[in-house]
Amino acid sequence: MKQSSIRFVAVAVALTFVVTACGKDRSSTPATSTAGTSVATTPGTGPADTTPVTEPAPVVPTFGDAPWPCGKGDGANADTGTEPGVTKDAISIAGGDDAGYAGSPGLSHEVTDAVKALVAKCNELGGINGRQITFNYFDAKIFDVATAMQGACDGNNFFLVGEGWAFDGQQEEIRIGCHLPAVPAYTVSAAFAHSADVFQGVPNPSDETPAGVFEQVATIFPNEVKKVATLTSGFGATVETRDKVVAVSPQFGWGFAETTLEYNPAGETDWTPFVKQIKDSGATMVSWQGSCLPGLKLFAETAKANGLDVPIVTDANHYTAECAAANTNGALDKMYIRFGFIPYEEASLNKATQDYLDLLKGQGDAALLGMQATSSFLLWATAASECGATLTRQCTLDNMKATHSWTGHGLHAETDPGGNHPPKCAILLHLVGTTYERVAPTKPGTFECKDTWIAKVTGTPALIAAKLDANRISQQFTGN
Amino acid sequence: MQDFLAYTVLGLCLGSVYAIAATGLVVTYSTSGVFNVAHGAVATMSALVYWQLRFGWHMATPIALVLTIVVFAPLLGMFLEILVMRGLRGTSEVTRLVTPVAVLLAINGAATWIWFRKSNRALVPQKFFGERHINVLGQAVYFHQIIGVGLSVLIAGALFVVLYRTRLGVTMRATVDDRSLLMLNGGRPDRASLASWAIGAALAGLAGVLLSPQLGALQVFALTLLVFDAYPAAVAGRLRSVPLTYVGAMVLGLSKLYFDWVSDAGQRWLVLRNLRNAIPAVLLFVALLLLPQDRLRGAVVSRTRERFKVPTLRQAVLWGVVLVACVAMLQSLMSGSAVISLANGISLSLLALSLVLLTGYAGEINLAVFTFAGIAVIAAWQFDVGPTGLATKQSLSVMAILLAVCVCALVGGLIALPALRLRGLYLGLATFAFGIIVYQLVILQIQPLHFNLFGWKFTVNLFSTGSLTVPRPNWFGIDFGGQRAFLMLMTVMFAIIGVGLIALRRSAYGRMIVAMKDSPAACATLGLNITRLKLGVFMLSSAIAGLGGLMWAAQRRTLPNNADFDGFASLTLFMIAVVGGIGYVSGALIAGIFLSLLSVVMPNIFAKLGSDYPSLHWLFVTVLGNFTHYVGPAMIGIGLGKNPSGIAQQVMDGFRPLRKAPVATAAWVVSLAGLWLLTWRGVLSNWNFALICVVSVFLVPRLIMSVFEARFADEERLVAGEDLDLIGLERPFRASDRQVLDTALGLPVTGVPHAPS
Repeated sequence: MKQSSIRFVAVAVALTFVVTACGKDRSSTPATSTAGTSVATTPGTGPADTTPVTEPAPVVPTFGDAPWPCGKGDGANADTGTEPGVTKDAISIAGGDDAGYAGSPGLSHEVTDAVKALVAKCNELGGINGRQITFNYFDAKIFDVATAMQGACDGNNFFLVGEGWAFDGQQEEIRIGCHLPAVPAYTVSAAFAHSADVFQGVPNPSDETPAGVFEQVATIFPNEVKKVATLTSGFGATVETRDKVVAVSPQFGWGFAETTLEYNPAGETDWTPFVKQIKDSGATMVSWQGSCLPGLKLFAETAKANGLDVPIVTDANHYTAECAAANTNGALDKMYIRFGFIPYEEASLNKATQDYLDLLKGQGDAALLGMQATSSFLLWATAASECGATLTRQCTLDNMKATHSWTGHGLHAETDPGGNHPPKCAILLHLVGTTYERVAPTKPGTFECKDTWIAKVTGTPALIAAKLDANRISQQFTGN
Repeated sequence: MQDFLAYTVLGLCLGSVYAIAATGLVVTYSTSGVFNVAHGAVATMSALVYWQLRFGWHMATPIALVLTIVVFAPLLGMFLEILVMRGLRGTSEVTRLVTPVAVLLAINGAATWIWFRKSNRALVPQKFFGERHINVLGQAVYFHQIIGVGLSVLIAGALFVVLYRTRLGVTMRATVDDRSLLMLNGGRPDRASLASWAIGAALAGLAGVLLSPQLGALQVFALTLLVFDAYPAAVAGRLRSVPLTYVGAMVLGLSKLYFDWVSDAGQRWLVLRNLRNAIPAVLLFVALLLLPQDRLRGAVVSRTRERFKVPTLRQAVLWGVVLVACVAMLQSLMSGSAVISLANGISLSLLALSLVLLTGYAGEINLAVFTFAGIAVIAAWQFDVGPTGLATKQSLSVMAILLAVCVCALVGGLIALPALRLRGLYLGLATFAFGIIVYQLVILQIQPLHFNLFGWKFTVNLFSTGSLTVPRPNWFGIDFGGQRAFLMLMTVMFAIIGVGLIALRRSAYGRMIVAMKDSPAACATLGLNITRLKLGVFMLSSAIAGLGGLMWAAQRRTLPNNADFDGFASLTLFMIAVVGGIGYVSGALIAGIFLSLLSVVMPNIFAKLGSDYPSLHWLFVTVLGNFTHYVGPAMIGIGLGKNPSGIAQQVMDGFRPLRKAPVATAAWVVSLAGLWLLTWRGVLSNWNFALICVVSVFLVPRLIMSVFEARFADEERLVAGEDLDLIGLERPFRASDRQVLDTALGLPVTGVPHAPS
């Protein structure tokens, strides 16, 4: 029965989006920026050779551009008896979300919707090498993360897969204590993102940030980026994002008129003071960290009514159906969103996106977090299936550590889960009326990538607290 | 100059809406004596209903407005009056404060259940007349805002007419003055109460409808918090005078905007940046301090229905030992996550102990318990860990605990000083305001603060990165970091502090405190220094709250800075503590476990039942699960009216008869212990053991009572709730009645001469 302001929750979600938005796509080849054709990491099931076959090849079920990492296997499964959650024919995984939070029911439930649908489909195809997957759900309700994690630890689970708990900093001591490895949908805290036994489909480390959006925006608005005002929700994680923006963007030509404006996460009754401040500072662009509804919508309306007509740059968590639907009066038409997945609007051009939407039809809701959960699940499933008959935690972890090129079967551009690097690719979206439209790169279904688009971050309070060692592994909770 | 005028206009617009909200509050308080904390919930519910009618079902605006504000809101207000508020007559101030909190949670829970249980959807209300605005002094003033100003003036005028020119208004005012006299004169106070609650709720509904577009997307608790902001205006009007309330609301609105003007929206003094969010709380505090001296209560000893009995020291120690033993036995059976829930409960019980002392014994209200927890955590963390330390490698040292406790006591004393002459509700509001101020200025302070005092530069890091990891104790070579060990440590702490509190209560100091609660005037005439007493109690209570808070934070390991510090959690804890039995240490225990149970265990149990019996999924999860989650705790608070002394009292009354049959009771307890042994050995499953325990707790006392009927003949009359005042009037006085009366009055039971056979 803990009630905090909803706004806080919304921002918590925002931050998760922010975080995930950062860790999106990278394509290692700057010139070619076609989604979905990067290296697939499932061994042995790559595209067939060019030798012509006389009989039609059996149809291999695929998700996106690669086959499902699920199948009946060769029947030689062994049970070492030492691996928790693994038997000859079953695997037990744990996961969950914050849906039970009374202040914002259903929070992050799309994550579980995705994982459940994926598990069902995978089992239908035979499981992981013939081992059927059992999914154990834990609801952290935002503040009960410790309880949820303890439950996952006690429940004899092999891995944590695709979970999304906003306060994952609170879980780490318990998780590390029970040696439960994780492949989450997203990470929020630095400690979790930099753990030795944690990998993500779309990594989100705290010491690096994708910087593509800065250059993309600077290309479109070369003059306006010279005087940017930041407006941030007064909340730890969003403030940290703002700090990263201020630290990293100048190398792409950004200059700042205002960097300390913060609004009340619990709600503002009047946005006019902020609009006035921004006008007085002479800013020609706004960088916003918060959530679309209600904050940005109200701010944009007030800005428009008061003659402040500037572009607003913000993060992927503003890509929601509700945000678009609420833009009936066009106030958000100047909102630019950095993005790392192929948007739903282009699903017809990208099989993986379409597959994701189809998978969820009737089974749950689609969302960005759900796509990340999908990517993480596929990463884990691929690594686990590669272990073959003898499935161990260490083998799975080793396989993921060796994965340096991962696209989630084409859902997003290339990331490096093994090296824990965010993507160096980006897409810029734009809201026009109630539809999202692509701004850059102009060709639909593609990303824009550059090596310089991963920027290093140092000295933020979160990083200091995380105590990263030379290998970028957090020592905050390992007691070393 | 232009800026100043522009901000003035905006401030007046905001103040108008606050005026509407605050006036409704004043109307209901002045006719019922109940400070309706649930006012914000009524506003929220009305806003949601309006959204549903206007945007969900696409009705025309005027129809939707009329249905919401003229039909729905007044009905809700009248419903509340009949169901809840009427039953609060004759109860203490504490009960009258707590019950509306329960109503608030119930309404907000219902609202969440109705509109938001499916998923996290956004309900976006539009302003009246959309984005249309006029330009005043270079900035936009929306039609919506102008309507707000116009409505507030209209309402002020209409209320004046109603209250001073109509018969209904005169009746309403007479109800405040002297209800019984009004009845003797043929007036109908009940009808006046109904009318005033209807009007108050309608005003709340209007405020909700006007405020919600300013939030942008309807969110249940956010909107409620906004209405809380209107409290200073109501207090400025001394909860009686509508014109003063109006003025107060304008001052509030203007202050918020002027502060933004002066501080460049919070940027000029970064240390005080969050002050802009705390302006209503600051004004509330100031308004309370500037209130004229409250009359010393004491001419009439208030007769309230609460009765608290005090156990002897020996009983207290015994029960403390029993508690520790029970917890030790239970935790050996329970799974890891169940132990965590129990530990959470005990930590909350520790926090609630501070309320037992302050509210149960001394009758003062503290609505900022978690704030002291936060202060304690910051102090202890700075001492033990610091910005560069690692919590996992430290132990929560005794020095840190002492430091935290002292800091909390000091802060408690500082708060008590200006609030010394405040009583009851006003004191509660003052502590609530204090809590919000500390929350915004201290707890939300995540950036390092750089100071330069006479050349001495230093940096203070209050809440670090927004979450603090609190170490667990490691004393005398015992590592209490493990959950079970920590649970036992907290239980022992609870037992010791609980016994200490009872010893305090039984001492002369305790009697002085209770005397202060009963009649401050009498105390003053007897020469007791009320100031010192109050100060002492506040400091001690704050110290206990600090200690409890530290344990609570260490239990959670990592404490984010917006978890429970915004006021709602303190309100909830206060409510549950009263429901549990604020005058009893065991009440605090019940409160803590109850809170933990409700938030985690019950939903889990229902979810498990729902998945085990899929055909009954709708019953367990949808109905029972959601009900328990959203509305249940509030209903329990509402039921407080029936037994204001709390659950602990009811439980003890239920078990009191067992004293007459010690052998049977002992046999029962021993058999339970034996069952525990079997469960521990694995012979009996946990579920079955729990089931047997619960069933036997309900059935066995009845069984024993029915078997030993003769011996309980006298007791039964007490349990059945006979009116003690009528003994000797309705039936002849019996010798055994003396024992009954002694027990009921909390006096030591004297020997009873043999009942004539």
